[in-house]
Amino acid sequence: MKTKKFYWETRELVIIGSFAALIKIISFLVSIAGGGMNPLALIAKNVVATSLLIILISSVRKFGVLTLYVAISGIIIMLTMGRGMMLLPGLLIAGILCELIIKFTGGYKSTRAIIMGVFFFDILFRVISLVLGFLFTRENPQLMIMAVVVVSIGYVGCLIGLGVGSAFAKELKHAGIIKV
Amino acid sequence: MTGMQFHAGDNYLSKLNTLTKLTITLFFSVLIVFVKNETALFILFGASVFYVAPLKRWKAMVIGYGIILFMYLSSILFSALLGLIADRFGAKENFQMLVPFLRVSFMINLSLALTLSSGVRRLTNVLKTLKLPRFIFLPTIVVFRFVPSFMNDIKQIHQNIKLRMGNPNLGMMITRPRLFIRLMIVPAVVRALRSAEELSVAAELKGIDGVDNMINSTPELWSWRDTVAFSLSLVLAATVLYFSMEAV
Repeated sequence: MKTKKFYWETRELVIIGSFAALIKIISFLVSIAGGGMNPLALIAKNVVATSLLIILISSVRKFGVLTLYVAISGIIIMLTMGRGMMLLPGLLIAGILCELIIKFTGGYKSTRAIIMGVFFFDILFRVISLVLGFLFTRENPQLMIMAVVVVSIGYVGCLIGLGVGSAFAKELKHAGIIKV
Repeated sequence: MTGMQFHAGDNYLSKLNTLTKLTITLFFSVLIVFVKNETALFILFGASVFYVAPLKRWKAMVIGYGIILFMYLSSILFSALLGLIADRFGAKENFQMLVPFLRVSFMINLSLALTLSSGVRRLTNVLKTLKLPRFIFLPTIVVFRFVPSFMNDIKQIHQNIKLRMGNPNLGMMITRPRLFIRLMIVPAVVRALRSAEELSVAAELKGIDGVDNMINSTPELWSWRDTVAFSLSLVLAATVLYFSMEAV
């Protein structure tokens, strides 16, 4: 029997789906435990999300993993909350740009390239979200100032998450849980 | 709701086709961005309250509005403080500050109506009818199907910590972040990676790896209610656009 060959293996697609769920659940739990707008909770949430994103890319080393993760997360938000449709095109472009950064700075086998890609993705993701946020709150620019402050605090967490994620991915590779 | 069972109740929202509710939600999530006239926003908000009311989830609605009200009040306070520093940042008319919150409240109502009246099974069935490509369909189904199992994993990890070191305090996340990551996050990630391996094998064995086309065993039929809902949505959108144009 001839088996049809796909670019994405079932295992890889399941890992992307699992991580999309895991990142949402853990970020949500950390937000609830930290009381929402608490700066430390904001940082902790972003540390976890960025670390998990690095582990995801380290587990599925293929061009398109970040873009597919963004698409799946966007679809989940759209289906469950009915929003995100305007955010999705921008995020997909950000995903593709960062995939190109990873590809041309060392490829998916280089931890440094993955960190660089995620670093730029976190920036672009926040810029796009803030621009869309501005469209929703344009009558009240004070809210935007608050949003920028909150997002900046969150970004500190992303920067910490880059280090934590790469160290964590290294440990998982060492333990044989992530296949090199 | 117990486990994966979902009871939306006997009301017109649960009888609507999930695809209809999804389309209405997505359509208005785009339209609301361009609406800034107060009459139009109040009309939309009133219509959304009427739309979500049959679910009788007053507690969820009150919590949502409470959070929005809190943000609104803190925004007024913040605005007043900025006004003390510089005039150009100072408080505007209060209504203008209310506009973003009306938009958010409207979206909360639509989201509640969609998620609370549909449930996971009906939302995943919509994905099947949309005939999405394999690389989108498979991970999305994984997210919906396995969120409960991840929650179960996290409960087990929580119980494991409880056995080892007593009742874990979630404040530990703030006070001892390294320990929190070691005890909670690391096992959750390892468990997720292991589950993903097991699930992919199970998916291939069960034939849901996307090679063959899947058929929705419980298709939702189009009814007169969906036609009415779409027609009313179009009338509402036209009314809102009329008031918005008039304001310009």
